[in-house]
Amino acid sequence: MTCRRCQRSISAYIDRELRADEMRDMQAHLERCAACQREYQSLLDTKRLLSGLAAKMPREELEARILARVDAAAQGSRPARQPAVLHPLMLRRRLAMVGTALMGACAALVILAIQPQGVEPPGPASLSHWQGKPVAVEPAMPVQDILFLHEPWQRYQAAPRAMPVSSVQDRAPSQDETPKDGRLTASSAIGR
Amino acid sequence: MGEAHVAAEVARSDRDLFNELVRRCHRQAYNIAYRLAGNHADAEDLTQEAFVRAFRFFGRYNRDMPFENWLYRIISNVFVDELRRRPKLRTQSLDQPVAPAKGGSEVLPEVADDTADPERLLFHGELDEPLQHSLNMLPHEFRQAVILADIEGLSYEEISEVMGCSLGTVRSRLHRGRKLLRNRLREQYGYTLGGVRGMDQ
Repeated sequence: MTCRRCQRSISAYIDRELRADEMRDMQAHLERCAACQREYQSLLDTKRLLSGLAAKMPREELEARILARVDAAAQGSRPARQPAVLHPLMLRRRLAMVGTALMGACAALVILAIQPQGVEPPGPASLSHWQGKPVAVEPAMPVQDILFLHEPWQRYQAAPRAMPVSSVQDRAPSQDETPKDGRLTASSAIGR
Repeated sequence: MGEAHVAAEVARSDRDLFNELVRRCHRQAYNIAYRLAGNHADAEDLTQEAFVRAFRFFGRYNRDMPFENWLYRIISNVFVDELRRRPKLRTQSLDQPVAPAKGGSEVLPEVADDTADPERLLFHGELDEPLQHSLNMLPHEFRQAVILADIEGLSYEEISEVMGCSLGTVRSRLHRGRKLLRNRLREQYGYTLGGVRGMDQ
């Protein structure tokens, strides 16, 4: 393996996103190439620092604000009926949407007027690309399954410092870092 | 009449479900939004707008996909929309009034020897600002990839779903993003990464 090829794959190696044979080739190269080893170690350190960041916690009232916005949307979200607490940024956005709708999409306004909820608003065109995938709404998954199928949010329920660093725990093999003269290593600093 | 009643029931249970998802996921959504936008005010706006969009399109949510990943996708889209509207969002960070240096050395922080060790700073919670500043400087595609992989711990496949790009693109964005981030932390803040300290290079 050349150094060039190795260095291109270092992040994928750190993330264990290479095939098994590629992982072995990388490991073999890293064991005998000091330059690539340094590159590997520096990117691994960078990843660890990010993984070790404490989660930013929102203000208490954020949940209520979200629910209020959702309420407004559920009750037929005409721009004129947005709550007064609307952030100026969002207000500008709403006004822009109204302008767009008035200019080009009378039909959209009609649909909006006759159907109060569950209807696609005259929102930004960019919405369409993430909905381009085949949509499978049936059969509906039971509430329980959706709520408990995936657990990443659970770490946000706990104190930020207690956040597990799963992405670091299953990092690349056989590159055990050696503590440097009693200084904290990244792994100890982030609670491995 | 009966059908209307059933429809109303379904709508209400959907709404209950959605409220529960808001309750469960809003902190996580906020964290991602904060890391993308770099400040509290924009992060709150992004989070709220993302949930409103998620609610409007909840009927189209493919339930094979984790809800958070779907939400990440919406957050990413709201964020990109906001960037188009307000290019300043790219680098503005209201929580951190001291702007990072733009290629000059005059704003470089004074770095004592023992502060070059980012692991020590991380342990003391002092690395958040430098890391967030450095994230803010990344092109937003790289920033998203790095945040999803290294802060949220998503696999490349999940990131490709969230970002709507190929695995190869994820791999490349992530790698380039990490390298830019490392270089910035070394050069701007003099941190030691991989045994090499920026100031010594």
